[in-house]
Amino acid sequence: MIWRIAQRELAGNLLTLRFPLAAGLIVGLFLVNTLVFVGTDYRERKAAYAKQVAQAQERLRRSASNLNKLAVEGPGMLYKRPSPLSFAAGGNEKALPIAVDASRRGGWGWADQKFSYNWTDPWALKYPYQSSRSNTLLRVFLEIDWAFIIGVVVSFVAVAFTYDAVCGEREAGTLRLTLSAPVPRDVVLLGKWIGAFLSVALPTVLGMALSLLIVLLSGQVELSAEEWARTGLIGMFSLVYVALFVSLGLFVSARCRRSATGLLTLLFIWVVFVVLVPNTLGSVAAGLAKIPSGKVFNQQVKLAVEERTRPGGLYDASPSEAQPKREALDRWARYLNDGVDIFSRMTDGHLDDQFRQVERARTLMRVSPVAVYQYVVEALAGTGFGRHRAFIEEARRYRDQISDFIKAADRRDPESPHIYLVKEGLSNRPVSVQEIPPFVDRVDLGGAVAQMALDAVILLTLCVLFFACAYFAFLRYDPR
Amino acid sequence: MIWRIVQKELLSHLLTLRFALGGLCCLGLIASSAYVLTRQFEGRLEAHRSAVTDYEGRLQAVKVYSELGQAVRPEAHRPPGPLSILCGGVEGGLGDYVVFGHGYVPFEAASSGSDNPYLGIFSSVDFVAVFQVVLSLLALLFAYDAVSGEQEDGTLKLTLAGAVPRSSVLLGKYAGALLALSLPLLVSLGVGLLVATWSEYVSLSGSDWARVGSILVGSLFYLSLFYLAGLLCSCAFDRSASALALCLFAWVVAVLIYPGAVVFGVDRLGPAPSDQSVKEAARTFIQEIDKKTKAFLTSRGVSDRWQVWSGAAKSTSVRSEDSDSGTGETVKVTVASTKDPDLKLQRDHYRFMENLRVEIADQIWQLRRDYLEGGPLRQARLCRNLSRLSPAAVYGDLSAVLAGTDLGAHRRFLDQARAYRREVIQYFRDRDAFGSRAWFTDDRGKADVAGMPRFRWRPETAGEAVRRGWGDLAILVGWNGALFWVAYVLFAKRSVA
Repeated sequence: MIWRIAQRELAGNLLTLRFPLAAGLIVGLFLVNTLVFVGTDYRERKAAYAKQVAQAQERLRRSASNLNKLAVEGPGMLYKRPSPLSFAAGGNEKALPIAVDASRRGGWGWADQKFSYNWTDPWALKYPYQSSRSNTLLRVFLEIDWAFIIGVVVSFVAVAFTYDAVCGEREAGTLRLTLSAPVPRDVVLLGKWIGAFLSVALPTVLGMALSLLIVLLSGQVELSAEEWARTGLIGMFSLVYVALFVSLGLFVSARCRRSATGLLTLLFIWVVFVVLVPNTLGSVAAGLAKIPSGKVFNQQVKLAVEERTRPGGLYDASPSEAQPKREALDRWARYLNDGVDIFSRMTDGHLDDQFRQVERARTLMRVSPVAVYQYVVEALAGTGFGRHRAFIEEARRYRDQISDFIKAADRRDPESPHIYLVKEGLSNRPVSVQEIPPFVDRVDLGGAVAQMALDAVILLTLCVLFFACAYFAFLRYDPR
Repeated sequence: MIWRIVQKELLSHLLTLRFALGGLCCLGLIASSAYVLTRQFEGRLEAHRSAVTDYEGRLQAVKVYSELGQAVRPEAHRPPGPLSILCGGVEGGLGDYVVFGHGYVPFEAASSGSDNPYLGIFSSVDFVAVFQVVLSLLALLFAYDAVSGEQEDGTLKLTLAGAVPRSSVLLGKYAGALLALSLPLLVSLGVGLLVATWSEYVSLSGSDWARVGSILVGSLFYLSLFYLAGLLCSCAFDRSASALALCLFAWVVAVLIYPGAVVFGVDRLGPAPSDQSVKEAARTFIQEIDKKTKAFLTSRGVSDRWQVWSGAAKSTSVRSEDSDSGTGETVKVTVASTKDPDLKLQRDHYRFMENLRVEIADQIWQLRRDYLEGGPLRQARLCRNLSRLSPAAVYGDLSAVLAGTDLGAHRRFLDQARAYRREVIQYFRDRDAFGSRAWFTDDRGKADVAGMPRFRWRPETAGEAVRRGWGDLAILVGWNGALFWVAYVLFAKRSVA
């Protein structure tokens, strides 16, 4: 019986004007998304990434000619790999920084009659806000990706298909007839739900399948098994999101007497929670806490680094003497390491403050189902702010890894004084580039699932909640 | 008779749930966004004021003119416009101050108030965005059943059975709906402006009020356009459900998808060319400065540039920048007793080199301007022209022009900053600052920076803004006329039997 009601509901939807309009719009947008992705977008980003990584490798090769040079110069720029699944969620990647700078910070010299030393402040992680946007005059405020198509357009279609599912039948008088037969109400509701869900899911799944087909046939992207798994999860959560809006539509329809009221209420909810709230709450949350501007912060860091405590006797002996004294090397190592520590602590802290501000905004935006859905898709696609944060954490782990490597490589040289991190206190032997741990920027499934867990739970809970609401509303619905 | 129809229509709209919901939604969103945007405006204005004060402080500390070449480069600050609360446009994203030098022509601006660039991933909603989305939808919801709904109810037949011309019926419906739509527009705009002007930071001048009035007129044409589009659908279909389906899908495409999709497509399919070639050419130009200066010095019997100071200075400090902008250099000298107390060679050297730097900077700017015109600006213009197919984009652009927050206003700021650079250079030349002793030393008095002209941002007048937005307004008016005419033809031919 459920299937018969679902079939009737599905046929009813398929034969209306709204179905061809919705299907055309959804499939058309999926095609636009994929053609842009395989046309130039991904190819260019991949080529730019390959070029940048090659340049960074070349620089690393030069630094590796000498361990103490590597120790001071650092591994260079660390680039973020473009995601092959960015067609599913662009995640504003073009507006986010593309790299972390792990190179030296500059150098100073000091010379008077007794003392002369030119030193270089050793490398530390710097976080320049350098995005890959080619034209800053264009205000790209919308990305046609799966997250937008499903988050905004498909949810709208779900609203358009469900607003009159119950109250429309009451107005037409058919609901009374249906319920006069020995059919339990939950069966009727489930049948309607399945019918409406299929009406919305069909063009959505068709669009996703076409999109994947074009991506595969283009030869631009080779998806690994893990990326296929992530794509599968994106598809699954997209259907959960569709189910959420179908349930919401049925709930509102079962709470209204007239279909016009149902439509208005749903449109109101949709416009507020899907279109306006995600845009407004970001700026609201951002204004809740102030952090110093980049200009002010840079001055603070400069001052803190310049005014750090100088170890006593720093200028008594220079590390650049032919036979440098161990005390001189120790003092300078302490002085330079302090500089790196202060710089890193302040720079990391400032970035963390900026991230906290964004996280606050994202938390507040979770009142909107479309924002929650977007976070899930971005986590699985390996794009967006969450991914950028993971990239920064990976770069910080790499910082420790490369420091450990330099210390270990230095220990292998018996001629080195083993004083980290003053140039003259470290080995001057060359290092094989193959030995240097590479920076691996990757998105693993486990990390993506952990990142999206909260949002996935919210999405599933909302879906169940709205279905339960629709069920109870329909049980009490007066069909007269 | 028309007035009676208008009254009936107005009343029937005012008493509906859609009017209440739409009006409340609009009012709530405008009031909340007014509060948020006013806070943001206050922050931006504070940042602007503190940046100007900071700059003035640095300027006061200047001892030698050459510091203005690089260490304390002249700046031009643009205060945020209070009408950015109504329509943010591109003002927040493109920066509010430029730094330049006699050796560097500015082509882009920086932001003085951006404390967290990551917040750029969030967009914000201003008054115009709320009207764009909420009121256009309300207009369609008012219109989709205006004719087909009345026909379904049977009231249209009764109305037309009387001696009322169809044109009067249609005009009456249109006028009644427009009056009903203008109510939430006026009330929410009024409340929004009240919230905004409550802040001591926001004060609107007469010109600003004229601009608000122009935006209001544009908004009315925009709403009227959507009502007429809905009316047209209502006249074209027998069933109001079909009219509604078409209206809603057309609205989603025209308001939510198309304007953004155009920018997305242009940005992704044809990214702006890199400015690498300009940078390389600029470096070659800058090398010319060294070459020609060397030749100049050779002609004066000096083989090395640094020998200029030989015997003339106890200590020198030169800070120069090795970049494609070739901004200039800061020279600070403690002058020793020298054979030539007038330091003629040194002064001639800098007079020659810094004048040459001005020329080279102008030549680099020509290259940069050609690049901007052929690349990024061409792309921006393409986007704007393509997006004109969407009334929402036309309305957004028109409002940004009237609010002074569009790309044109930003370019005007950059043009004024470049003109200001010429004024500063003229100021230097009037005092022969490049060839003066005070270019590199303050042993006989500090450089006269107090008299240097200061930048003053001159926004467009309301009349100029209206003239610039005239094209967009004409498009909205044209759409209105065309839609009304088609709706009238369909209604006149419609069978009500």
